Amino acid sequence: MYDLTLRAFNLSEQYRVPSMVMADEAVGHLREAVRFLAKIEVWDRTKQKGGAPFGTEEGGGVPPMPAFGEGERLAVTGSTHDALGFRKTDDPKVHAALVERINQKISKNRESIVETEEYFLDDSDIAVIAYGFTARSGLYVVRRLREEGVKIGMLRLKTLWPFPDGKVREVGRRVKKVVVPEMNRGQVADEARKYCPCDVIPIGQTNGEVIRPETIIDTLRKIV
Amino acid sequence: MGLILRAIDELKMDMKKMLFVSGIGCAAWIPSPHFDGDTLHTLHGRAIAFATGAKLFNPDLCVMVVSGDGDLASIGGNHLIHAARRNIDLKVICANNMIYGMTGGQAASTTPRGAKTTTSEEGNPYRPFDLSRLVMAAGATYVAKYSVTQPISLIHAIKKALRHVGFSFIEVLSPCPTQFGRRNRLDRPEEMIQELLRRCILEEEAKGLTEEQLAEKMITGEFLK
Repeated sequence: MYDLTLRAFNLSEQYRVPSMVMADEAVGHLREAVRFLAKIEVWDRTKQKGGAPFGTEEGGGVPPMPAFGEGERLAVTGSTHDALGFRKTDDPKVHAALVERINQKISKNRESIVETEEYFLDDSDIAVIAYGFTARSGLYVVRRLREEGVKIGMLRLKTLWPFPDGKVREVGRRVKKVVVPEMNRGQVADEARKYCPCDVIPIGQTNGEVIRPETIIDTLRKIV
Repeated sequence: MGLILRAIDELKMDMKKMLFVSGIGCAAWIPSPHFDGDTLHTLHGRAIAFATGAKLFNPDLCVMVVSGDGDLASIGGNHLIHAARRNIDLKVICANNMIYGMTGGQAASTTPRGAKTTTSEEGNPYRPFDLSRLVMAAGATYVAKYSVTQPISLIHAIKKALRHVGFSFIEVLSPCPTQFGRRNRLDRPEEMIQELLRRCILEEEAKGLTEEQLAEKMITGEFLK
């Protein structure tokens, strides 16, 4: 949570979007040692005197933006607006350009935003795709079964949006089966199915408890 | 709008260094996009939340909030009382027309009991907030209430609020003929203005009146200085 919160702030400042840190109740209640960094990298956004704060020529670029109180007459509005921030809700060209720009700044920079971790995936036949607290159970399972000689690995998802479709597709091509344990009715399993050519087996659990390694192992024994 | 500009001008403040925050509603259009400073036109009810954030980041910034009663005291009521409680140095000007006007005339937390609105066709059954008293009780440190028919007093109050360090609240009784007046037997704008002229009195003027006469009066003035 510490590292991802730092990253969330920096991503938010860099791309000028809200950044949500999605911990769950189990993660929130954990007590562990945290390694604090001696030096933290803080992203400072670019500013440009007189520059248009809401328009940019480069596709996928983020415009420079002043802070309040710098005498730049910054106009911020929740309504559709032009490159200077002036409200303009009746011009389809302006509206389309705005929607395009704010989508492109994320879609064109997917690779540097998306974050995942891989464990033992080089020679795996089965992959566990997990995130949040469940990834801890997942990793325990992978390590345990590896000791028994099972060729299993895990892809841990750290960003859920933009969804790491590239990595998921890559893993789905390499392995024979993918297992997605999650504490809901299969939200990420559905996404994984979009990108995996192999079978995607969801392990959904909605009983108010965290998914224990035994639950994942039970399902794996049935399909291995 | 004119009164705010005059107050700023008389104090010789640099508007370009000021931040004007507003929500959604006709009053919210007073500063945005017209004022020659930083403007922040936010979501309905959240002007004070945004203003608090901006002030937190840069305490040297002079932050003025201009919005309506629906925005500040109805949907945004919670932000209002907590900002007042924390005495955050914001200059809040609330144009109170006792209704959610821009959205078509729905009853707000300030709508008088018995008034006809689109959501109270039989007459509003609830008693309204007395905004000035509410904000004072919450913890504001400068509170004034005037009608648009008292422009000189208003300019004076706005200047006081601009110079005051702490949560300032100016309630400005403003007529809305289109949504309020039309449904409550005050069809014409001049009728609403005349009603305000008749009903708004200062504390001193209230002294000589009988209880019956006082019933329909609205006392204006600086309640907390």
